[in-house]
Amino acid sequence: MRQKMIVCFLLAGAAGLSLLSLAGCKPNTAAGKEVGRPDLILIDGLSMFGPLESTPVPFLHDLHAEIVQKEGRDCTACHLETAKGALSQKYMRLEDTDRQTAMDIYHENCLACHKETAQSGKSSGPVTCGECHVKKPVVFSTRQPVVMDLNLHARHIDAADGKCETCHHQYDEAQKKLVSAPGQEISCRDCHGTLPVENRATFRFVSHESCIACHAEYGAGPRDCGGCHDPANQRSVQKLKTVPRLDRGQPNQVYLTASKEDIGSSRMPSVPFDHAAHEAVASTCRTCHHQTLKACAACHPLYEQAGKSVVPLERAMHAVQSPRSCVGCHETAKFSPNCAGCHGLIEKGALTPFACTRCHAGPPPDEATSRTPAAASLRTPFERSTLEVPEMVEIASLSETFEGVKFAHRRHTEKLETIIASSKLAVHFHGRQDLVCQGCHHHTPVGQTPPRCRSCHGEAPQGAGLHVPAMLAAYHRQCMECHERMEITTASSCTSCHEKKSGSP
Amino acid sequence: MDRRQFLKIAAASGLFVASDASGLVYAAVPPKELFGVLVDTTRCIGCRRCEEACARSHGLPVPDPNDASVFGTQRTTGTSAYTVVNRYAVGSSQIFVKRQCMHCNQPGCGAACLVKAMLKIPEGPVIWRESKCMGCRYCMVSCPFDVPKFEYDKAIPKIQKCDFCFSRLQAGLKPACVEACPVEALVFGTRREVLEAARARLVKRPDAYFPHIYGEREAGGTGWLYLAGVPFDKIGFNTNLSTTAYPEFTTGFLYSVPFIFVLWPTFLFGLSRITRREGKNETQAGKKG
Repeated sequence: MRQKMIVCFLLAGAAGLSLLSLAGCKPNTAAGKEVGRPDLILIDGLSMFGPLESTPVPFLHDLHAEIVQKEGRDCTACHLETAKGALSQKYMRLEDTDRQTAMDIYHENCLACHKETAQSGKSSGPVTCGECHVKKPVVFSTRQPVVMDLNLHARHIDAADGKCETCHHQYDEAQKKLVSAPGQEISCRDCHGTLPVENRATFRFVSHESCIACHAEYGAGPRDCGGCHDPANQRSVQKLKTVPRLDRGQPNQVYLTASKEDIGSSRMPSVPFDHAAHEAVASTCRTCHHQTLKACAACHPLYEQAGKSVVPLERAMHAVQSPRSCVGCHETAKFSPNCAGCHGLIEKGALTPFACTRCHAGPPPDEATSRTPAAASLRTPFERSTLEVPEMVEIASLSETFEGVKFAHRRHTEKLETIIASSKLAVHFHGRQDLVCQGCHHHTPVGQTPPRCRSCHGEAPQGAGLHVPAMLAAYHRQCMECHERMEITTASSCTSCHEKKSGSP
Repeated sequence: MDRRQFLKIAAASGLFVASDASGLVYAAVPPKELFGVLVDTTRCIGCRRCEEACARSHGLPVPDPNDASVFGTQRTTGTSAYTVVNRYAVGSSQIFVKRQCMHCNQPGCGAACLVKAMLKIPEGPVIWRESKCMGCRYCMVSCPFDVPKFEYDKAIPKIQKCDFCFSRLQAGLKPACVEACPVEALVFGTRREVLEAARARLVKRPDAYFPHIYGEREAGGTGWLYLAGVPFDKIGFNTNLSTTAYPEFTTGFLYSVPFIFVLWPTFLFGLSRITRREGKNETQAGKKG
């Protein structure tokens, strides 16, 4: 009897375990298939009232907007009108009061609409808890922030008939209202940040309120999330052939100095700066004027100030890692495929004393404030040299498995010179033809007879102690890594450069 | 037992244990520094001249370096290929990784080998000695890098793996693969020098490398070290290895065997002798009295 009981229990246990394991195997309805959407909003509005009890709800705005539009309704189906006549950006409410009210608004309204649509026979949205509060959403956001670059801005100027006050305003503290300030227009983000400050709304809020309202009123421009935020749509924005220069009374050429307060202590010569030329390469003013349209020195003091967290002027201009500093932006340019061939070998951010005088070439700072550089003086011509460049060089000192390399020397130098001459930045810093040699003939002075590679690069690998590669590696890495950095694919196999020796294995 | 006898027995058993234990000490202090090699995968161009040179130097079938079809699969070392180069696609770039024996500081294969056919010689290479091997293949089981390969299809099978060209090293030459590399992706030196070179590269060009030297501590440290520009698990490395050397997992147990089989019996025997003796005296005393 006891034995029978034990057997029964064991069988029951086995059955129970197998049932449990089956229950755990839920079929993954969206196995591996994740969808990217630019209109994804994760509804977590209750998080301002405390920790969330359930997961945020992935909500597709464009999907719902389309459906609502098809029914012949507009944004007011979900967004109430405020006292000022604008649409509240919150769902079915003008303000957040408390947790229960907010939760009820979402639950009642969302579910009511979903149930109604389902009853009329159309496919509808979820109605159960787990279908909205998804534990593992398969949708992920592909939303990209919108950059108002000079091209897009020019198109808006056209649309607004050149009336800047359509969009640009300033807040008058005295009158406590928004006024237009002609000639003083600044970027929206100069005032509207990521957090609300007193009665100043966030950039996210105002951009949606102003931009969409205007687009809706004039029936032009996107009104849905994806229209602005979808990366594909952003790429397909019409590019004007020539973007007219944005005129806000900015200088064409100017001498950069420290601020008026600091000029007495400033010792470095001023920097002649071609503002107009730099405008052509910056996609928006904010590329450099990241906080305000004033001069850099207006905010960046010459010396670090105790207690204030402002970056001193030297760092603002020379920080290599910064995307905004002069040196940082030039550094990034050095690693474009056209330049990286030579610059990839040079240590990043290496500022030689030679480089200082390439920029600090103006008059002393106190003189510079009253003068303007001549435009012509800022255009550096490409300086031809008298060096005789050999047309073909035979590199055959290591020839063992392969024949020597018949190196088309002049073709390489001419190509590099063409690339350099086409870049104002490159010409300004190394616009001398003889400096081109330094790309390959490195660690030697410029001249007609640079030393042979083997003077420094030994025959056999020196081992881990030295980091100067031996000849074999020096040749291969110098040529191949340059081609790789410059994205040249023509020399892709061994025999592209040297023929195999007949009889070699 | 009297005191003299007790001391004699204790001394004898102590000596016995000591001599037995010293014979089992595994890592003797090497007379020279261990050699090592740094494999910089950011430099490797996948030309496979290392495979070619290795095969030539060991009399194995020579692969054709120009045949790129081998990159279709991830290969492991084989009985006729001591080293292979694999290609991995990471993001938009291709990364080539050379695989071979890692020549661990404390090789698991050496500890697993019952007959010391797998041996780490003082210069650093872990070699397989044909004269001692008995074909149990425990070395294959114990290797975390899946390196030793057994010739199942041969009548007289051998274990085949990279031997760090130890005969060339003893002649003062560099390993064949290191010499053949046209871009010096392989750097040879003492393990200390090679590790310093690896660290120097990480400091000098932090943007070009993933900040880790594979083999510095994995499995207790290996002779062949790797640098890469991407995380190592993306290019076929096992990143779940602990830093404990494989022999250390078992030495604790193994070293306690002589103590258990020699010292305890001796001690217990001595104890039983003492207690039995005393009992005998008592009965005699009882008989008399």
